[in-house]
Amino acid sequence: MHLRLPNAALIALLEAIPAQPIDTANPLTTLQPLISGTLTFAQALEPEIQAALDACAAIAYRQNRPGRILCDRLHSVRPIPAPACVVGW
Amino acid sequence: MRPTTQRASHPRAGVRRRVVRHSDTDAITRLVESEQLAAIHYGRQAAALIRQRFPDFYAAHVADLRTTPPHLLGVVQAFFSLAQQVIQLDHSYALTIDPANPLRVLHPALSDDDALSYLEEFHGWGLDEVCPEVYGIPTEQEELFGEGRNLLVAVLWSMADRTAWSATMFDMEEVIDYWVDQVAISPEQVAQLDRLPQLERTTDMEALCTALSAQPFHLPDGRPIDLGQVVRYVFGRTGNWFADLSCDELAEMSGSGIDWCSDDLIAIAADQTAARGWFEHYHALNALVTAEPTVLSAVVAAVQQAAAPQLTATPAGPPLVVDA
Repeated sequence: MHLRLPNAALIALLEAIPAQPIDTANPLTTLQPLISGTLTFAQALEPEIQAALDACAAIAYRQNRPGRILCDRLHSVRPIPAPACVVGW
Repeated sequence: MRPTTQRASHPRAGVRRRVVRHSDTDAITRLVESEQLAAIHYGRQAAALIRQRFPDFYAAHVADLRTTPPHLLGVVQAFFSLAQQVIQLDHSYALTIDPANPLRVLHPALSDDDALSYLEEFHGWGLDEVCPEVYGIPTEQEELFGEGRNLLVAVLWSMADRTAWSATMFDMEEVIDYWVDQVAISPEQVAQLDRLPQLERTTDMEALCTALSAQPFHLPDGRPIDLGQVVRYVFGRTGNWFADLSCDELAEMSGSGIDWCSDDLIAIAADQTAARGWFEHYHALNALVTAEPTVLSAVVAAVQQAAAPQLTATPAGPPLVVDA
């Protein structure tokens, strides 16, 4: 929860949207030997490792998730004023 | 009853796909943002470059190495050690580079945490953190002219202050006034600076340099100097990236300026060698003009003579020779 952000409630709602389904194996499983240092560099340069790293980046940065761009923009938008502060409301 | 709206089926209805659980997403996000994965990225990148450019070393020493943090650092150090066998590099204290023995730096005696700390130095720039050596004139005024340094630059920039090559980043009158008032320069130098001639606004500086290059300028010990190339170097107009760019300018750029995957390191080495040659010629001449006012006078006279109007048919005179 982004407690300090002016649009925290809306951002939290957008981030609660279920993750995009992906049709690859969990990349964490593939990368575990690399992270633990048990792979060799020859193995670490295999295409499967690069694919797992790319999948992690796509998930972490949520490039294909709906609302990502909106979330980014909301971090810098001024808070929605309370109705009492808006003339005419 | 109102008729209900017929909705089209969801485009993903009936398609079975595996979903990444939210807890895994958190773990993946933490991993992607971690220093450890950044270190893995730099190590893989360096290993790939060694495999591409130095395949024998890769096959013998890198391919079967485990991807532990010390080895990730070691592979980065080994790559730059191998690269420095070809070109000159400017690197941070975080790296230990040994072009004479790249194998020595492949196995740093560090803990995982210490190795990761060193690799944190690359955060943001990656292997671009390591830059090639460049030999251009500094652009910071204090570094360039502080304590009366680089008299030759000040003289040439002052003489060309009205031309198309004018060094507009500095007020040369202000620099020379400061030297005269504040810096311990000799009375002879003060007199020379006071009466420096100025080249005409329409002076073709390229033609001037070509004319200077055609007649070697002889130093008191008899050594010939290509004064035209020295002038080009002082104005950053050699056309050689490594001679025209200073360290502080390179530091302001994004990246090192080198594509480690595809650039021709042999060609870069040749450019660096040429640039370093002009750098050394400039500093040798600058030291002389600073120590010997007669040499400074000879340089000024040579530049004036080379800038003589091309409209007159008078051929250039004999090269100026300064007696030892």
